Amino acid sequence: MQHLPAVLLFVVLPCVLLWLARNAARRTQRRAALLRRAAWLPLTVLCVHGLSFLLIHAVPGGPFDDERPLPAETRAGLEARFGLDRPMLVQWAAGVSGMARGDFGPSLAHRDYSVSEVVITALPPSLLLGALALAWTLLLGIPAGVWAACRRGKAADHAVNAAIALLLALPTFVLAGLLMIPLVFQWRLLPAAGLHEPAAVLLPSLCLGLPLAAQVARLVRSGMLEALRGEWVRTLRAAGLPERRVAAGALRLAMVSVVAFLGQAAAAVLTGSLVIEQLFAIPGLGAHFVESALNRDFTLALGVVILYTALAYVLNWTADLLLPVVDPRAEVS
Amino acid sequence: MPALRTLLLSSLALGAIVFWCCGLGGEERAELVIGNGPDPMSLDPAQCQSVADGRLMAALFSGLVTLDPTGGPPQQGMARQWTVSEHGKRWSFNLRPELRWSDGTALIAPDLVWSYLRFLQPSTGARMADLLDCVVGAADHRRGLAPASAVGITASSAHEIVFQLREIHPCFLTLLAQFPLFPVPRHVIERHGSAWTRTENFVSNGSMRLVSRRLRDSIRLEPNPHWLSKTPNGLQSLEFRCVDNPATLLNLYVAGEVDIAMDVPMAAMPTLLASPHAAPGSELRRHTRLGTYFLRLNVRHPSFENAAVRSALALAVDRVALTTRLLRGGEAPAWNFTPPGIHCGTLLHQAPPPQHATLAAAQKLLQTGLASQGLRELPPFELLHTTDPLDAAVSEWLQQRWQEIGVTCRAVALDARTLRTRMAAGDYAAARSTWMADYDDASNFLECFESTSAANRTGWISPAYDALLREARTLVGDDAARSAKLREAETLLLSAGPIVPLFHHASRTLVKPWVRGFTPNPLEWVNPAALWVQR
Amino acid sequence: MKARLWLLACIGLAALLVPLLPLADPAAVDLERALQPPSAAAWLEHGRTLPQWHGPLAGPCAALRRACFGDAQIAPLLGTDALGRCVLARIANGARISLLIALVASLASLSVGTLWGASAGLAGGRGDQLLMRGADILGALPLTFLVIFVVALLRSWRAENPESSLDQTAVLLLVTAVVSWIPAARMVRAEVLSLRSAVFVDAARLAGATPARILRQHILPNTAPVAIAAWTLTVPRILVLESFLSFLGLGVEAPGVSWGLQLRQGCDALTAVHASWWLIVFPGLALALTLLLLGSVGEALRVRLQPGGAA
Repeated sequence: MQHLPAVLLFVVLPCVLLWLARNAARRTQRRAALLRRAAWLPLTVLCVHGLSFLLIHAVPGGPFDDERPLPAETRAGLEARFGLDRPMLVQWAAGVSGMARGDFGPSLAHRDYSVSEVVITALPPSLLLGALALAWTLLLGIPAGVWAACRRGKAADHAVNAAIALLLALPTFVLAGLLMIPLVFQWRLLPAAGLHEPAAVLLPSLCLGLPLAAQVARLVRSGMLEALRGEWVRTLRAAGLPERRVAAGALRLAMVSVVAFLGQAAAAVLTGSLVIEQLFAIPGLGAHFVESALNRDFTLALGVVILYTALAYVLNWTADLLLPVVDPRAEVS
Repeated sequence: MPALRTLLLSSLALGAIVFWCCGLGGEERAELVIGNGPDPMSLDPAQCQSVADGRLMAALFSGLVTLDPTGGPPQQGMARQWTVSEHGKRWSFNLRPELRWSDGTALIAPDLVWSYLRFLQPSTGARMADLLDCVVGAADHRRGLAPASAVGITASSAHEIVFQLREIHPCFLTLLAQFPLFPVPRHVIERHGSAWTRTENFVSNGSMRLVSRRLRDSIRLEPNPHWLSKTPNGLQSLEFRCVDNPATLLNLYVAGEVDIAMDVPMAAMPTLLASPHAAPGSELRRHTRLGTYFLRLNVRHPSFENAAVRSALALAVDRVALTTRLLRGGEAPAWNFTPPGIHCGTLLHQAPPPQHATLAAAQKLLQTGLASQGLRELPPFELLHTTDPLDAAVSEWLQQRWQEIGVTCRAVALDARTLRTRMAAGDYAAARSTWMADYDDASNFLECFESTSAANRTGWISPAYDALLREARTLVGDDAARSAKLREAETLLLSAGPIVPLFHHASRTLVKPWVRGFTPNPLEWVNPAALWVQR
Repeated sequence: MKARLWLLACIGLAALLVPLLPLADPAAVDLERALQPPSAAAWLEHGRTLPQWHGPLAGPCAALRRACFGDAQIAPLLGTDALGRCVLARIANGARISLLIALVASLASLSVGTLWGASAGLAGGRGDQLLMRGADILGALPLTFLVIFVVALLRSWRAENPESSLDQTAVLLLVTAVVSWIPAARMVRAEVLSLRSAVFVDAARLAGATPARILRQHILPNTAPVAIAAWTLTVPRILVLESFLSFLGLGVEAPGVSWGLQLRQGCDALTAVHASWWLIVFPGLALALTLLLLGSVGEALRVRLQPGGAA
């Protein structure tokens, strides 16, 4: 009975969804594809859980290894308390059935909290950071790309290209260090770290969003250049539209690749925030993630991995759903 | 462009919504904000280990006795007075009758006994459960070999607790002042089980009580209304900010968001030392810590079987250059394992730098050692260190030094857990280590390398060394004779060379000028009851 | 375009010829002159220890260098780091490992990705589903997690097998390649899928071409532009990944040096009270310039390989 939710979630649900997809196939291709994807979500989560479990237990170093050796009895007591003394297979099965119920057990490094509590307290700052970073990405990336494409070969284009290369090359921790000096210490515009006031989130989200903005600018630029050569734009020009409207039309085409990229970007923002969270002392998910992996906090690491996997999957899925909204051709293919 | 506009608007709206949900800001700044280390593992004192955890625990709890930040003998805590029997093995403590938990419940001796027994139980997961091993029956009870009734901790009345010791301990009082031995509330734990550390259930007995806690962010305290004494200018609110990264901590300090930064990144030290911050009594407070940074050489590793080879490696290291040119944070060069100024009975002092600490001498020693092993040169070995930048810098510097005597080593960075596992398994050649004092006594350092100690990890076994430490234990009370024995033991340890001491740690704390009552001390703890703010 | 290619070639050549250039020893610790800012006071200096090299060509290289330059070395024009090492020499030496990792790992991940994506695209149906779901699952494993554990595993494996040829560069190559092939596989698969149903492939099939011939003659050459586009995206990703590993302290091991490691050390030296800007600016510029050049060369290559010439 204990394993019932796990069986339902990881065996019955995917089977039902796949069966539905097979039947739906006769009517619409698209719905079938979506159903199939939904069916693969629990399976992916299960596989990722298994792989992570294997990796975690294959790696040397346990959660209780410290500079000061732990008395043997205390170690045994702790292992019994956290269920680490059971056979691997039993631990794995317990993990899977716990996961189905949304219970990942207690955290080994934050002993006053369960993994679910840690994740729930850490998710809002990460989401906030991620959402604002995405906003920066679009707000800075799209205009820069448009500007560069409209002035192809001119100084502006070269400047944007150089900025893109620089932003893609510099790791976020360098970016954060460089931006912090003027904004925080010279002009004292923003707080140095933490999330204790609303302005505090601006700088970390900017650091997180800038490399993605560079990628978006690149996509927009190349997409627009391609579109400006295309037949559709030629038609617009021939119809006598002003150059601004033509550019808007080209941008519409270029946005297709940006939307396709958004899912990936959203996932990147979530999983890529760890360095930023550490530097700005933001109590988010990313910092927990690195910490739990380095600390061998098995339960927390698994919980965060599963959450990330599910989030990335859903975000990519949403981007696929959004695609036909921007690009009517996507429905046809 | 409607699609684009929708996209932009929706992303902005999303950001705004999340912004709203998070309810940022809210709390106003506490009167005093201490930039502490990483988030504590638990609010249960028994499960804490790090110095940073200890500072928080010292604010929340009070032990039987408390440490004196200026380095004097332990002072009254829960106990009003105490007596020790003539042979030094029976300690009885008289508790203050007005003791209360922060929820108003009376704190009596039987509950205190229960708290100490809980500390010993393996299921509690106390990292330093062996701290009380000097008490009769404690070690056996901890291992499940003796019942609780066999442990020599008893309550003779509601306000008196008695400890029976197995052997005399050099500083039993200091031991009792350690944060893992702070009392825990029996009435709360019996009701809530392990959930007693949740903010809503949490009860403590110190000068402050818990108000709120944000994981990995901040812990807020306010004065405990049931605390024994009311200090007139005491803090009305105190916040511990949990910050992992010392560079971030410095940023927060410079931006004025914390009033005390308990650590300073190495890279900032030269600038700080050259600035007016460093003047005596101003913002940068430095103090030698009772801790030593050293290398372990695995004597079971084929390269390090020979003591002369090990000593040669130790000899080739110029500690003065290391501390004055590379670290520059006030660390003391270490030729000893025990740090300077460590007391409680020993008079061990820092050895003068050996006159022959030259590369030529080291090289000669190395050749002698290698010749006796039938080798011409030392095979390259791995030096394990953690991913900490300081470790990496020290290792690179060591690589260079040893290269000069023809020894090649490869510095391998490992995450801390892997490093410790490999060290415990004896699966290494050389590894960086550090030992921080639990209490102010040389034996706390030297006993690490007894053959039975789990902290040894070098495979070095010396019956003579064990015998010296055993003898020293019988000499508690006679400081001169004891320190002579300990010094002999340390000389043996250093000449046999399973370790290469490099430097003694220094505490580097930044304190804003308006914070009063802060005393830097060798154990790096803070007495929050003594702090006040005067702007 | 030509100028860029030449510049890129110069960077590559300089990295290759580092043992012959009159550069200081990148690992020579000299605490006497730690954290010196850039200065052009002296261009050359003499009498310092020359860098040690290992490997079959080390001897001739050292002799050649000595013959050409004597014991002269370029002074630390770009300043020195916290251990007093010449930043210029470290950038030049870092280029060797960074470029090696960027090129080899990206090519390895590209070939794995292309192979995987092309077989999925060609197999179609069940096989396609299976391969791509496998890639999805691997891609769903968060990168950080994988990297931390794979590095720990490889390092401990290496410690247990000291005779193996798996040195630290190989560990880095493996790790970065393992985690970066999936986007390439996806891009190539999508292209192969669209090519499979392209008119000219149908024409070839009608003309009686064997599947192998179709694959060789019509499909694989046409995936080249996509593969190159994927490659230009992979290179920066791998370089950033390498610097992230350095941030965690799990990157290149001392005394080795890479651009990512330099950036990390520069970041450590960047505190609120003092900024040794040269430790971050110069390695950052080197990295950005290389990426800019690689990106534009890749772009040009893609355009050239596009069927129908420069579109």
